[in-house]
Amino acid sequence: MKTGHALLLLAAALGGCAIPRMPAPQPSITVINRIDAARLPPLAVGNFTAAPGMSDAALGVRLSAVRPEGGSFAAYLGETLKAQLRATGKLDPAAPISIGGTLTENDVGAPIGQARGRLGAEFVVTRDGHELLRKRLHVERNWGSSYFGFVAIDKADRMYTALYADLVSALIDDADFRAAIAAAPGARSGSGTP
Amino acid sequence: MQRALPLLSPLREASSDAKMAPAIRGDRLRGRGSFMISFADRGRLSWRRLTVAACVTLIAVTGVARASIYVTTQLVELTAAEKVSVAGPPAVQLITEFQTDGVTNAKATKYVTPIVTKEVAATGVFGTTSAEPSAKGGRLTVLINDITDKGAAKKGFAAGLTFGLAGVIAGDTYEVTTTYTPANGAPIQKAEHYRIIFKFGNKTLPPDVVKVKGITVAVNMMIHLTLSHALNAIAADPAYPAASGATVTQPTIAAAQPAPAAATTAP
Repeated sequence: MKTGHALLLLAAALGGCAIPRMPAPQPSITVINRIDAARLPPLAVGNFTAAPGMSDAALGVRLSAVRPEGGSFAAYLGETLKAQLRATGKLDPAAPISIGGTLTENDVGAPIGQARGRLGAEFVVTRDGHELLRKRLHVERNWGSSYFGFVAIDKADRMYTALYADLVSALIDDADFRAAIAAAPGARSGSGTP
Repeated sequence: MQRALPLLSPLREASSDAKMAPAIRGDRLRGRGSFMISFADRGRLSWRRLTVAACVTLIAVTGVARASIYVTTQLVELTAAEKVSVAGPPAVQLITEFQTDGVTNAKATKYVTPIVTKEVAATGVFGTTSAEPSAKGGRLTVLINDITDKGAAKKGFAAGLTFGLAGVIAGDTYEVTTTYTPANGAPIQKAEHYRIIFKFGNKTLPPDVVKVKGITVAVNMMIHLTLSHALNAIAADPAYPAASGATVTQPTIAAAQPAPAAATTAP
């Protein structure tokens, strides 16, 4: 019992820190510049869901947990994509080309020493309901993780959240994605904003 | 104070999160990969040792909370004579991003975005701003990269543990890159740097710093000074009037300065 109390006290000192939810996705300057350069046509964003067995509501980091705004990591990925497209004037819910997907990898760990976060999804691009592309993409970040819980948890939260813009960026840069969009009937490249 | 949390470097994190530690509840012990679980599994540590470790850590962390905050004085308020006057400033899309060591920091971005928006409006270099694309006015991006002092948490821990006898000075450098991309024309980019310093215990400060009330004040000063200088420099750029359609009156100080000497060529 005494050991339990001591553990709790040490936990408060080293592992204790409540993490606010990941905020609503914002445009990333790097990603919107890439979208501009890609000269994409207007795009709709469809549903994003988590694969069976995938953590979709919370991920443990030491004694705390990372939670997404809206309650679903998969939906958060879709919202991240929307935020980038909206900022470049490329988001159009009525556009014939739509991007949806399934969250296939989702993990973050911050033990003392080396920490790692991973995020992966299977993106599905359709035009008027017909599938143009189905492709799995994956991003990963590794970083040094402090002995101090409050430092390690905050950094893990930051690095993990950044993976969402990384994954959207990986999609925009993907050669197969670009080719599928370009080959879509009637797809016209946008003029880029600005 | 708590709203500034996302900006915090390790030393500042130590000071702020120390206040949050007592709020930890038992239900948080469900986290995976817990340091505590692996620590306890070893079975070699008695409750006395664990309690001592906890107390030492809490003393150190609480000590760090007393850190004083300073800012460098290399960047000062622009005088009226230095300011570019802009008539008919263009409306722009404004995108703000905060990074920590080059990686997007979503919570800090959320925190600084309204501050940046207010500062941009105050300069008068741009008209209305919006998050949506502006067809005629172009886009203004503000990227704030917080380059943290590596190992600040360890130094702060040592300082707290010795009740300040082992003094420490740590700090973050803020690299603020402001880019105006007109609807038609090449981007105009200006960068400014600012430094926020944390001092705890017995340590001599560098000469060009001034103490401020807290981290919120320091962050607001950083954003205000870097942005006012960067946007003034954008307005002073020869490409700005044609790109933006605004009418610019150059500052009296700049106008009074002699023209740059012609470049010399080696014989």
